Amino acid sequence: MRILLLVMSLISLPSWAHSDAKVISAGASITEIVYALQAQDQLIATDVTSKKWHRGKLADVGYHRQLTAEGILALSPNLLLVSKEAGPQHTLDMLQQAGVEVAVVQSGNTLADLKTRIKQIAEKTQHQDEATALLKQVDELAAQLTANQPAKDKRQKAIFVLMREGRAPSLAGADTPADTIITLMGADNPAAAKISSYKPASTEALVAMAPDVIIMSKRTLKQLGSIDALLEQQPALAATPAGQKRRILAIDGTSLIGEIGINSLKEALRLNQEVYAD
Amino acid sequence: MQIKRYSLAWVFTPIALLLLAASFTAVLVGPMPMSLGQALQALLPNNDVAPHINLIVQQVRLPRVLLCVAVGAILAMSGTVMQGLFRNPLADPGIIGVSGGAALGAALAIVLFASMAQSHPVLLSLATVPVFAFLGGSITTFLVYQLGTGRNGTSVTIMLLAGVAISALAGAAMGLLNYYADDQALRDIALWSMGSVAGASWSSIGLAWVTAISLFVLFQRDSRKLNAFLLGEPEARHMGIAVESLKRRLILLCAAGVGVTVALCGMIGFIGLVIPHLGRMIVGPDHRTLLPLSAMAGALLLLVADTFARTLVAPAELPVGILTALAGAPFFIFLLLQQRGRL
Repeated sequence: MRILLLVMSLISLPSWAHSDAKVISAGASITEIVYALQAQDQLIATDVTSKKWHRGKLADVGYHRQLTAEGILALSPNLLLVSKEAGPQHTLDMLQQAGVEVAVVQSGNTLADLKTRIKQIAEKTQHQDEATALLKQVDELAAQLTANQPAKDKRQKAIFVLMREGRAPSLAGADTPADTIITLMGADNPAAAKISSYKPASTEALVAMAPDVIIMSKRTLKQLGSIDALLEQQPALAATPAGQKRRILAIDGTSLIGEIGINSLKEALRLNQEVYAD
Repeated sequence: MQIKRYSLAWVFTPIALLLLAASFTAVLVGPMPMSLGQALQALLPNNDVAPHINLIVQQVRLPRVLLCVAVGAILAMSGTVMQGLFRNPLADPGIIGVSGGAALGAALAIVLFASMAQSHPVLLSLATVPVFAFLGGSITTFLVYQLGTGRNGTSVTIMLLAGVAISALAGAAMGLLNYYADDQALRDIALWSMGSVAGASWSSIGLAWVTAISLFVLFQRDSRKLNAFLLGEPEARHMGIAVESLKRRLILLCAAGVGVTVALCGMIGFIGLVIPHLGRMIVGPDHRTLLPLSAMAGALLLLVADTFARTLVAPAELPVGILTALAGAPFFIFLLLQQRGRL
């Protein structure tokens, strides 16, 4: 009975105005959109992957698949934005029972998915005007990327290499944001046909793929110091066409967290211009 | 040699009071601010506390307290029986391969069903991870037992070594699964292997309590035989104890007990290893008193650890297995240093 009353009182509540909305975003791709829509004033907490946007200023609700009912309720939010993967389900059920709206946002790495995500988040945060501008920006970026696609015989082979200290380098295969970015920038990812997700690669396989371009995260390149230092440490890379032509490009690592977002499109366009400049 | 022991009332009264105090504290504290009166009132039916406080107390805190007590008791009792049966102070429930097997089962379920569950949500509602964890633990225990059993009955030494070998095998299979897992499954496996009581529901509490009480009754019935076992297996046999059936029964019970806890909460280490040592230091090796004391101390340790797990990094939460290991390992080292002269 009490729960019924609670639900009824929630239904009759008017949608909250901008100022008193308290939103928790659980997912890097969702947080990026909240910021891009200028709706960050409504945020009171994010998950652990979204720290980059608020630099630790907001509360951290942990990993989005291990959300805790009490921790989240203690922040008294009225909206929780999550992806399909978030959980556990009993936490989400309990939050809903306590009157928190749990909005499951579209997942996926396609442009259509991104646009649906933007529309959904804009509606939930009441930022439709900003969404129109943002969607236009996405369309423009997409149109530019389409226009910049190289002719079939000019397409280059690009791989994304994840380097971790003391371990074999990993390659980005299918179903990764890195793979989507490589496709968007007009290159082919030879690793995508063989592996999915990030998998350690033998140096031999790496050379056999003969990539024209090697993409690495900015942070890794910075840690190594220079391309020379990298080629010295990973001599196999020097044997690839990319190593010989020194086409080793840095990408903003945060554009690779979660699913593709606006930053991923911008990075794809920047890489596209670098690779096909001549 | 007569060793001076504390009288039983002096041991059990304080620990029972501590357990009670810890249970109330666990219900009273948490990330959600509420007054003492509100929290206590929310425990009563037909109260007039705000609904969100009722929800937190009745559906988050109380279930976790109840689950912690039962799971901590099961782990500590199983550890005590294992150490008694193997006459080895380093034995813990993991030694017969049940933990390694359960981990492998859970990882299999996480990796194989993660993708299928996206399209068939039914698979998730069937609780595949707990079921697979339980099956994995049972199968490895059976294997270890079979390996240790020959024509002349079960050899605990061979079982111990077989347990190590089978656990290593399960570890290798885990490595293979980790390789094929995507990032999300990897993270899920890692978190699962650190244990958590967050999934407490009334059905899991029921299962845990039925298991804990049954184990307590059954272990208690065999406690005199376990005492005789401490003299050595041949000695126990000469005293007229059916050692083979005793070993089989106790191993099966421990495996079932640990299997249930692993299925409900993932891997929670160190309780089964440390608590029996602590108990033996306080009341001595008599299983008739050691088992109930271990059960209560195990419940207490898990309860305190989980209270910290819920509150330390709020609004997020630490896996409780990290905390039991953080508290348990240094304590174990302390015990070793204390006993170094005597061993």
